[in-house]
Amino acid sequence: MNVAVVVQRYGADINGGAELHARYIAERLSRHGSVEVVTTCARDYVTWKNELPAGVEQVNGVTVRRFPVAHQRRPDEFGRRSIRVFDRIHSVADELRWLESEGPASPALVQYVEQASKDLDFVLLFSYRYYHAWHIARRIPAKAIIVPTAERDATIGLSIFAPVFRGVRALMYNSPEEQAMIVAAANNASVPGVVVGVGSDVPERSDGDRFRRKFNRRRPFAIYIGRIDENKGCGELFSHFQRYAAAFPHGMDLVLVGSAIMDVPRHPRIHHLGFLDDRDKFDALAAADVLIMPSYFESLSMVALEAWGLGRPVLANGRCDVLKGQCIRSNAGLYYENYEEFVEALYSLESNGPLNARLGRNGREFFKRHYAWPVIERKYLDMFAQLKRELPPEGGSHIAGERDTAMDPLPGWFARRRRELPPATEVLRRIPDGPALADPPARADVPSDRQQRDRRRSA
Amino acid sequence: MSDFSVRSDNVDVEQIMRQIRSRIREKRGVDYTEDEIRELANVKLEKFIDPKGVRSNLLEEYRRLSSAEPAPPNYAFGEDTLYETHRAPIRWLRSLLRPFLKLLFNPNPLIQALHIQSQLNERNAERHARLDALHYEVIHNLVLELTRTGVEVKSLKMRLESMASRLDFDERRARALEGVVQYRPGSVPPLQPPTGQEPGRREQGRRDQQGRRDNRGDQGPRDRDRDRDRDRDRDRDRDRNRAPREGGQQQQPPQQQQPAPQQQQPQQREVPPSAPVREPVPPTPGEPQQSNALDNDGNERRARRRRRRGRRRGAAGQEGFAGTGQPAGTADAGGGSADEQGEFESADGGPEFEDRASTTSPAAEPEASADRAPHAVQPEFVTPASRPAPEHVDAGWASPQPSPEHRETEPVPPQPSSASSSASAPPSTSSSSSATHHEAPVAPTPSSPEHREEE
Repeated sequence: MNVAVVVQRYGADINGGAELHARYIAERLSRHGSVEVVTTCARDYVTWKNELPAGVEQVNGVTVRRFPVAHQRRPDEFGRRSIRVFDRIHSVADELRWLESEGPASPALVQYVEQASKDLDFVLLFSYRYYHAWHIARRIPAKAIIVPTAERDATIGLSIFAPVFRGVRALMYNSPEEQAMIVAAANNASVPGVVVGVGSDVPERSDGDRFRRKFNRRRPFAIYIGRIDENKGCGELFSHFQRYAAAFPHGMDLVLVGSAIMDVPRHPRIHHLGFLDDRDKFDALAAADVLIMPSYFESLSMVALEAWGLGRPVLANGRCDVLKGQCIRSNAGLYYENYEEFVEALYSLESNGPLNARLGRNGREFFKRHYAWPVIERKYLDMFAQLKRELPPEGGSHIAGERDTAMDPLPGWFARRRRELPPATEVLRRIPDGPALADPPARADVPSDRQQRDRRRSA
Repeated sequence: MSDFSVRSDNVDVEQIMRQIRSRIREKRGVDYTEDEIRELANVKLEKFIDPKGVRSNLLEEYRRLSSAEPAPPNYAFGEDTLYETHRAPIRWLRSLLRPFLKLLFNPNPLIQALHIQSQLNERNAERHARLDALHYEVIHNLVLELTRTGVEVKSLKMRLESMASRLDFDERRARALEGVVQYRPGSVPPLQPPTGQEPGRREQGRRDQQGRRDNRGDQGPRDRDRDRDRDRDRDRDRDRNRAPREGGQQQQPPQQQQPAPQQQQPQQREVPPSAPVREPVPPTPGEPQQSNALDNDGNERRARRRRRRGRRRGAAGQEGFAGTGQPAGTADAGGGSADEQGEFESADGGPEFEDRASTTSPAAEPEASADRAPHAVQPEFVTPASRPAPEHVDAGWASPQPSPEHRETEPVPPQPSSASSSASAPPSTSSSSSATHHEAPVAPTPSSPEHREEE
C-alpha cells in the first residue's frame, strides 16, 4: 500500500493541530505500508516563509519531501480578500483569489503529487481549506482522501469547497459534529466517510507528584494546555477564572502550559509554565483536577482526548459544538456557555470528588474505545480496503444517481466572475449547529437542513 | 452516534448540566440568557432622554419649529393629469395622439402609481398632524413634570442645606457651652459619661414620666397639695443649709477634696438661671471624665435628696455613721441606692470612677425621676465632696459600708456611649434602680432636654 500524506507543514517540532495529526497518522500508517509525506518548506503558518530546506528527509522514520512555497502570505491582501468572500456578495473568482492568497501556494507540490499519484494508492490531504488540498483534490479526485479538520468558521461556507467534498473518494472526519457540518454544507452524505479522529501516545503511567514537586504546585489546580491565544478562548477563560478566584479564595489555581501569544494576567492563582515536553505535560495532566478547554472552534481537541486518556475530566466551552458533543457522548466532561455555568461546573468538579472520579473513568473508557491507536489505525485500514474494493468513479461525483459525472467543473470565465454568491458567513448561519447526538444520515438519503435540524431536536 | 458514545449508568453529563442551569436560574431569579444580559448591558443610555437636558422652553421651541415648518407639498394626480394643459389646441392635439402614445408605452401604471402616491402623501400628512398633537402633549407633560421635579429637588436641597447648617450651629453651640461648664473654677471633676440617650429611649422615658404624672393625677388634689407642701419645706431647708457649705468649699480646688472622701463636704452651687443646659457629650475613651451641666443637675438633686434623708433620719443617722467621718448629709450613702453609691471618684482622688448605675441603666432614670418632687428644680453643680463614697453597683443595698479597697480593685470603666452603656447594662442594675423607685427615692440623671422641660 502506497500512501502519500500531504500537509501544509510537517516536522517533529511543529505542533499545530492538523500538522501533529498528520504526523501521527503518517508514522502510524508507515507500519502498514509505504508512506511518504509531501509538504512545504514553511514553518510559520502565518507567512508560509520557506525556512526548511527543500528536498527529501527522514522524520521519525518517515520520508518527507518538501517543496518551496511560491509566495508568502500578504496579510493585508489576505484580510481584504477574506472580507470580500466572508462578508460580501462575491464571485467564484474572488474565492479562488482568496485561496491563492491564503496559501501555502506551492504549485510544484501539486504538480509532484499529481505526477506521483499513478504510483500511489491514496493521497491523504490534511486541512481542506488550504491551497494544496483544493488543487490536489481537483486533480486526482479518485485517489484523494480528505481529512478536513474543519472548524465551524466561515470558510466552510465558500462555494469552491463543496464540489471538492462531493468529489473526493472519502473523508476521514474528526468528530460527528464535523461530519454533520460538512454534510450540511456540501451535501456529500453519499461520499464514504468515517469519524476517526486521532490517537495519542498517552503513557500508561504518569507521575503527578513529580510534576508537583518539580514546579512547586501544592494546591489543587485546573490546567489549560495549548497555545495561549485569544482565538483559543483564553481571554474569556482568564476573565472567568479571575471572577471565580475572587468568589472562591480557596478554590483551584489555574496552570497554563503552552506558548503565549497574548498577555497572561498577573494573578497569584494563575501560573504560566510555558512550553513543556511530553513527560511534563502528561504529568501535569495527571496532577490536575480538571482540564479546561475554552476554545470556540475545534475540530478535535487532542488535549481533551489525552486528559480523558489519563482519567481526568474536562471542562469545555459549550459554544464549541465539537467539544460539547464530545463531553456529552463520553459523559466525561462538563461544559459552560457563560460565567455562571463556568463557576458552577468548575465548583462541581472541584468539590464533588466522586463526580470527578466517575467522569474521569468515563473519559478513560471513551478514549480507549474510540481513540486508542489500534482503533484509529483499523479505521484507516478498513477505509482503504473498502475504497479498494469499490471501483473509483471515473472522475465522477458521489452524489446519488450521478456517479458517472465528473467532479463539478469550475464555472466558465464569465460565470466565474459574476458576483452572485452569498457571503460565507451567511451560508454558515444556515448550517445547523449544536452537538451531533443523532445517528449520521444514510448515504443515499440526504436530508434537507430542516430535516436535520428536526432530527437533532427530536434527539 | 450510538457507537460513539459511552453511556455510564451513574453519570449523565446532560443531567448534571441541567441541574447546574436550574441552580443558576434559582440563584439569578430572572432567567436571562447571557445574550439577553449582554443586550441589556449594551443599550446605550443616550437612547434615553437626559432629564438634565430638558429645558423649560422646550415646548416653546417645539411649537415654534412645528409652526415654522411648512406643510409638505402634495399634488393631485388624476387620469388626465399627464395630458392637461391650459392651451386648448395642445390639449386637443394630445388627446388626438394619445392612442399613438399608448402604442409606444403604457402610461397607466405610471398614472396609477402617482395617484396612489398622492393619496399616500395625503394620508401621511394627516397622520403626521395627529402625531404632532400627541408629541406636543407628551413633550408638554414631560417638561411640566421635569420642571416640577427640578423645583422640588432645589427646594429639598435648600432644606437640606438649612438643616445641615442648623445642625452644625447646634453642635458648635453645644461644644462651646460644654467648654464653659467644664473649666469653670470649682466645677466638679468628671462624674459619669454623658448618657446620650437614644431618641426612642427618651421617648420611653417621657412616656414613663407622663404615665406617672397621670397616675399622680389620679391621687387627688389633697395628695398633690400634701406633696407640694412637703417639697416646699424641703426647699426651704435646703436654702438654709446652702450658704455655709458654699462658703466653706468654694475656695478649695476639687483635687484637694477627693483623696479623703470621708472629709469631703457636700458642696452645692447654684447655677444661674441663665446657665445653659446642654446635651451630654460622650467622653473620650482614655481621658478622665469631665462633668457637665446635666450631671451636676442630677447630682444636685441627689445631694438634695441625701440631705432630706439625713434630716429625716436625724441624729440617729449621724451617730450611726460617725465612725466614717461622714457628714450628716451623706450619712445614708452607704445604704443608699446603687445610683448614689456609684457616683464617686476613686479613693486616690482621681476621676476614674463614675456613676455606673446612671450610665449603665439610663432607661431606669426617667422612671426614678417621677418620684421627685413635682416643683421645678434649679440646676446645680455638685462637687465630689457632696457625694458619698463610691460603691460597686452590684453591692447595691446589701453593702452598708463601702470599702475603699473594693473601689480600687473594681473600677468601672467609662462607657463611651449611651448605646454601649445600655447594651452593657446588667439587668440587675436596672432592677435595682426600679426597686429603688419603690423603697427610696433615687436621684435620676436627667440627660435629655425633654426631661428637663418636663421638670
